[in-house]
Amino acid sequence: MTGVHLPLSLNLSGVGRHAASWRAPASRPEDALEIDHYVNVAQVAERGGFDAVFLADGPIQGAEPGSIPHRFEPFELLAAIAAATDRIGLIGTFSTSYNDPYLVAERANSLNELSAGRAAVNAVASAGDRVAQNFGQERQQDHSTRYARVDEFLRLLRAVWHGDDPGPHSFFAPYDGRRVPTPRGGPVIVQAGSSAEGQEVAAAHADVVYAASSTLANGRVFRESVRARAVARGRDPDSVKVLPGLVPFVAASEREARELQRELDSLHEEGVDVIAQLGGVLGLDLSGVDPEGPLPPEESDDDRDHAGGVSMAGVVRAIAAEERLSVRDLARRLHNGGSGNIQWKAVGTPEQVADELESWYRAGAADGFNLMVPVQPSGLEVFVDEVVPILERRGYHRSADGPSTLRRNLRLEEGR
Amino acid sequence: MTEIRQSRRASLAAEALRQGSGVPPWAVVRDSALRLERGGAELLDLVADDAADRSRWPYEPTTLAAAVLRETDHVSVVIPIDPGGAAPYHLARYVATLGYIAPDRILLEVTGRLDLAERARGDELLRLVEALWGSWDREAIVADKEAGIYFDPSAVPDLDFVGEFFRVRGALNLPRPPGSFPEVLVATGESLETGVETGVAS
Repeated sequence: MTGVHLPLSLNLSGVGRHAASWRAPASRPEDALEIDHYVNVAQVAERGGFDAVFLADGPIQGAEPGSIPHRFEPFELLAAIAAATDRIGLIGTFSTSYNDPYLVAERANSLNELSAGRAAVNAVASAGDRVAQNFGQERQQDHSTRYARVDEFLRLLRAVWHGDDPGPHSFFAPYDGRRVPTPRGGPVIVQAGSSAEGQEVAAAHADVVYAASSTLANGRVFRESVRARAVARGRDPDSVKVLPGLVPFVAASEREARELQRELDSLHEEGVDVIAQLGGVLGLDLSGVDPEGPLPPEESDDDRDHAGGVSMAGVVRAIAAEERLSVRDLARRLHNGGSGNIQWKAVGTPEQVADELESWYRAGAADGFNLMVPVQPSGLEVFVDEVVPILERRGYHRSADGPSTLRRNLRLEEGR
Repeated sequence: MTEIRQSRRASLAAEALRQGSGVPPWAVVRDSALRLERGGAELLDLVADDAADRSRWPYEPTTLAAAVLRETDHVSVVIPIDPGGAAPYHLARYVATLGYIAPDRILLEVTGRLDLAERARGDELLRLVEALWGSWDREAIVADKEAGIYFDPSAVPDLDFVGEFFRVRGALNLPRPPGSFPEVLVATGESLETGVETGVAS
């Protein structure tokens, strides 16, 4: 028994995190608009030993007819879930590009109080001009300005929650010393960008970092990089928990697990121009490029309109280089992961998947895991029934018993 | 209907704050809401009235509303609308999400200094939030597993709202919620039919 605790976080969006989730025979796509569905999945996760549920977000309607385009507002949905649970953490995403830090500080702290200390914010810089146009602006700001805004935003949240000095700031109204009551210690801070700017923001402010690592080797490099940046800022590296995202395909045999994945991938590919989609993420016109050849080299300008944002383009390029994928294979890989989760897939029996999680921890690539279950709730039920007990038996996970807080679940210091 | 409700309007914050000193924990707030509902309240206010109370009240109205609506059975809640507050697209999502959590159990009330300029801004904001609320219908969702078509984009047009104060491309990233768009209370306490007040065709 190692006696460690590797926290498990669950991506709660939609009816699963494969882009074809809703087409799977087991899925009920109408659940995606049912509040009770999300409450139920969160309760299954809580009973099954998960430490947090997570809602991704973007304030924009999706444009792809084959994918679910709608999302509930994370903080209201999580507040409804809070009323029906008592130990699972509640992580809500908001856009720093089109929000006011003083309003977000109140809303997130409100969720933290009404969940008795279980809330976290995941700050993201929204990418794309279309989002800007929902907020009265023609164009988005450039990448470095968007990230400077994330940093300033988080400094102001910490000022309102903890009284920390916000330092100089220019994007938002001057800090006037305001505070909100935080008897539960204020929300936890999560960061998910993997670009260099994203890592710097994480090192400065985050308690948890969601990583989009596709292989154990680059997962280890990413975690080491975040920890080194935290140390450079005078922080204890163990106060930043790196949780790589993984897509688990679990079945009684490895063959069945692979079949599960293949079914979902092929369902999703029918009739879609996957190469054009890849071009959208990279900000390139790939129509004249040989689909069996390699990806054209990167241009220096990073201000093209990438549908998925700069760090996503970087992740995609890294995967193409590491695995020497053709344009077509890369496009299929991206398409089937969805632009939010091209990363790591663990496919196999419960023992094999548990082995893989264990190896990521032992190699220094993970402090815990963020699960993106392909079909929800059925895939989650298999994971909590079959994989979590193995992790517990091996001493890598301890399920909370009775009411808890997110800081306790993550083994972070209580309060601040 | 709203006149009856107005006479049965109660402050959840006041009730919860009365139970002790310091910040009332969520369990106290929840029990207060249930007690007020059992006692016949039909409409709950979710904000604290004065500065002293606000220093003991960490609850923001729309997140609090979500939890209160989930725990109670039929009582409605008042969502304050600050014309200088959250961006219209965000506000419309808060309100629409509450519309899914508890259909027909929220009312909106414009807050703040209601001078002429603020009033005009508040009116436009409400008109915009209502337009976003109904910017597309659930019928646009076909969820055809065989064909791989989840929704029909041609049934989800851009809103392209351009007003004096706000500009929003849209559509909202939620289809029209079940139930009606919330009734709007004005600061005098009287109720107005939203469509008439804001000039929006329903």
